[in-house]
Amino acid sequence: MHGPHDVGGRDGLGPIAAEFLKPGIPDWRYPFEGRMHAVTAMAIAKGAFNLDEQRHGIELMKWSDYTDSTYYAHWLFSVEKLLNDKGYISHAEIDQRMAELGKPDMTPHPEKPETLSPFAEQMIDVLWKGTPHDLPATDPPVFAVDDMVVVRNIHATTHNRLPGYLNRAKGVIVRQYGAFHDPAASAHQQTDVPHQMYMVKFASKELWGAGAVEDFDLYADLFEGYLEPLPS
Amino acid sequence: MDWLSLSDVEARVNALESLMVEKGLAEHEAVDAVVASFENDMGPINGAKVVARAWTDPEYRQWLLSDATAAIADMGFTGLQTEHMVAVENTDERHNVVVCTLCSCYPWTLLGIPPAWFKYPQYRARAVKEPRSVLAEFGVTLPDDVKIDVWDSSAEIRYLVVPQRPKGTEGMTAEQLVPLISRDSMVGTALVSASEGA
Repeated sequence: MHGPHDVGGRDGLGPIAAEFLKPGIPDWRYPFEGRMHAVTAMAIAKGAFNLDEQRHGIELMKWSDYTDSTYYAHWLFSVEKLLNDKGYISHAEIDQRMAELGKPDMTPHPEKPETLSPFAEQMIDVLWKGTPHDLPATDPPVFAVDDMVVVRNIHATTHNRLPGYLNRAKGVIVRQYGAFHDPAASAHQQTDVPHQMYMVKFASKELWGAGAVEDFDLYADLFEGYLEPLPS
Repeated sequence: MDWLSLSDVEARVNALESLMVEKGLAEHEAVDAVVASFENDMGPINGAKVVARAWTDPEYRQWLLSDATAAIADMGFTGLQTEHMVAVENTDERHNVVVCTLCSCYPWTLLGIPPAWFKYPQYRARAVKEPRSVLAEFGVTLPDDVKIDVWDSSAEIRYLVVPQRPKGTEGMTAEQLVPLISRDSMVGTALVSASEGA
């Protein structure tokens, strides 16, 4: 969907914040950031929702909320919505718990506990194993390296990984990746469906017009269903 | 959404964690453990070790460029969001820049948590349209004849930029080279110089 997250090529979002360009600022600037990150990973590990659902949840934010909020507010919005909609924790429960707890007292940069619970060990195990998303393909790839393709004119209002700025762009297949799980099927049906994927190269003038200020190549990883052969 | 301020977000995350623990979706000490793992065990030094090895070992460099997933796994840095990797090398002719326009995809176990500038919409919007101008804001001015390649991490593949080894480092060991290799140089918003990187 072309939600507030779909920012590639958009104007008017302003400069990169000067604060972010100062050397040495920590990547997690506030204690709540790491904790939000961790509880999200835990909810996924516990099967409450999957990563594609979590990404899609962020895409449903109100545009002004998305652009005006601190980054981890996006994660909070999505996780809270998913847990509420799936019946785990309601928005009202969170409101109430906030009132009960008052001002938080989070430890910045906590130390690893001396003994780890089985769940803590499981989480650290997940961190270092990862969760690969490639799958055996059910059909051979349609496109070969060097094939000229054009991105389909897709304007789904549901989740996909097609940045809007690539819509209808002509490009060339640079690499076949094999199949990965389709993010839309994962986000909306919670199924693991293989979908052939490609590295596709686009010229900047193709993306931004003959008047494009800069001359460069752009590469994106796109699913087969986003592409069609370029008519010769 | 009426909880946009930092203190509102913090209070809400606090309440969420408390309820998640109660409902068996999280544990407080496990959250501490995960945060500590990210902050202490993951970070750009992992990526720097990969780059330093590629700089000093031509066979490893070839392996990294042809099968980054396996080459990075060989050094024990595979993990969450680092499962599927592609390494792209900077040369005299070509400079690489990585972005995730749709969100903030980044190889956590290899490079740590992404910096704020990578996650917010401003870099994500502009890197795919005016990368040279964006690089200038990072203090990187490339000669006109250096071509820029921009990589939009739009699916599960994550990218590592292999910066050019600077002149003046001949004879240095991989271990000695590691401190020169900054996080930003592995995303494409910095070059590496012979004196210590950020």
